[in-house]
Amino acid sequence: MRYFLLQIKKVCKALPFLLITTLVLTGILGLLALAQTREAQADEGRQKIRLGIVGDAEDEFVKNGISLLQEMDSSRFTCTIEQMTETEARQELERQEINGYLIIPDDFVRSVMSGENDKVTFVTGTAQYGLGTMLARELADAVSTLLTETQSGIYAFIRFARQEGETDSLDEQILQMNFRYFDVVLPRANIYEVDTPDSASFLSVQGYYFCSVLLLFFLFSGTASCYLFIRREDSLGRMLAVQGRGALGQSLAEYGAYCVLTGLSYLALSVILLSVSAAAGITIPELEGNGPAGHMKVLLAMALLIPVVSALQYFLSQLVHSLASGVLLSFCCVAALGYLSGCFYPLSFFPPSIQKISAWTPAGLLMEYLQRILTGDSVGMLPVLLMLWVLLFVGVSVGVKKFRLAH
Amino acid sequence: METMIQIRNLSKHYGRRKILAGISLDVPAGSCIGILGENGCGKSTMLSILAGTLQRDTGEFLYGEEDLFQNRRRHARAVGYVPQGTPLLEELTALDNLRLWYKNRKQIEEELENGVLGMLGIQDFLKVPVSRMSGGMKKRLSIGCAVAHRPQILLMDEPSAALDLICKERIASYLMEFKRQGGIVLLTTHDIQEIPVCDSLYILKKGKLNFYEYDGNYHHLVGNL
Repeated sequence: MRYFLLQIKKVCKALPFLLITTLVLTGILGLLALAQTREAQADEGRQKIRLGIVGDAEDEFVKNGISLLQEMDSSRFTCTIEQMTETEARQELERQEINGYLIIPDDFVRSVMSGENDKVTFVTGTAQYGLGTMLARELADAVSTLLTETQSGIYAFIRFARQEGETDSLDEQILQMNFRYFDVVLPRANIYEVDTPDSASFLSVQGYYFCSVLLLFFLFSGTASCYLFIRREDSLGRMLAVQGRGALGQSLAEYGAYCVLTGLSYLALSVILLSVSAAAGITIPELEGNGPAGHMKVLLAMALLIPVVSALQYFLSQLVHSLASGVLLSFCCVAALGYLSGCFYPLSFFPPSIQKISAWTPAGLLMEYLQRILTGDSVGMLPVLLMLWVLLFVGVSVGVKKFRLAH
Repeated sequence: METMIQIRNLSKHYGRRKILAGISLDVPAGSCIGILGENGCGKSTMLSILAGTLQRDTGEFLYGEEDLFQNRRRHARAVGYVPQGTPLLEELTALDNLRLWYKNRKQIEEELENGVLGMLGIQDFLKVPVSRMSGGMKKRLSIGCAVAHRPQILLMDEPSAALDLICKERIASYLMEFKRQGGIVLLTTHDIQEIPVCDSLYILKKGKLNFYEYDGNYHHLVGNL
């Protein structure tokens, strides 16, 4: 007990320094996340693909077609479409200001209606060949498919009108029907929905960043605090062992103190996060309307990360003898685990095999746990799996200490 | 003089290498045994086994009639161990470190006033963090911690390595007093200045412990290591 209390005193002395270090680190991460969130919310246009349309500016069909593309659900979230001349389009493409441009031949729609197959040409530079280009190609395909599929409907209407003897002003009626089709029918076509991998299906972007920043803070705080438990030599452990305080007792006391350190950091961070978010007017949609009591409940549930992160960091600190190797080991492990757990990128960006591995790592499980707490979903067996990791880390740490004391 | 501890057939090997080959030694009460030998000859291994931090292959450590290897509690009460390094919490002060080993503040104050802590001069740096202490301060504090439970047997692994003369003298004075009170000291050393404290010297060589009669000739001693 005395050893445990002295360990607590030791970590408390180091707490201000550790808090400042980790807050600076996490502050930088938080600012990046905040900037990312704000940018995603306020400036979604910058994320869009910019496309040029080259066609007869006087042609009603081209004007209506551009208007259609700008309004259509399937393209307005992803593309900005501007009419321009071919020369302007080529210059902008060279300056990489647009991802590509579509050349719609004069009388394209009329040629389609008359059964000729004039083609829409999509022009892109090799430098732009990537996801944007692929999407633009898909869009050109979609436009061309929509128009050509409409062709059969138009023919059917003409045949029907002629059979019924309605030939007066048929051309005008067809024109009006096409306009109506463009204006009313096509914009309502909901070909696909806009989705953000992972986070949008369960979490808001703010919620996702909240979870990842929280997890990263505690993972990286271990890099700053690992020096407290790295033993360059085992004299103290040996002397304690002689007095009957063996590897198990020593490890539990040290791990307990580590938990206290992480707990105090968690407490401080919770207060800071809540105060800063209230002052800056940042809201996490999942927490909206919960009130302070609701926030406290969520933070309390998330406190499971204290024993897990402490066990991981304590385990890492037991594997090394020097501060330099300890910091390096901790940083590499934490960065790798943070990356694998989806702290930096949503997990769906990774191959399925990596996602499966990630789902069993302590950081991956923690990320999943934090997200479920935030969304209010059932956490299922996650706490049990996390506690198994704690047992494993502490168990191996005891084994390592026992080995070191005996050699 | 009555024999107080007996080491019987102590052996240890690492892989194929035999470190201790059936060592036996009788140590009377109130005496200090110095163990010399080359680096890596097994001096620290021997003390670690006697301290109970390292497993032996064979051997007994008799204190009176009782084998301390078989009774952990009795062993913990009887033995004080000062390892080679710094068995201290570096981030805390001397007083904090003493609190780990002494029952309460009152006992520390008594020892500082009239006991071992006063003799070692620990009151001079009671509130200094270990990380800011000199090697001599750390060693004196380590000894002060190791003898908190008033052991009868003190095992010291190179107690005065890299210390200044004043510090060595302080430790030597304390060891003389410890012996005078009937305690037994087993220490390993490379330092000729520690030899006067020792009542007998042994040289550990090829796993065997051989008695050495020191005649004051340093070169002769080195030749025998």
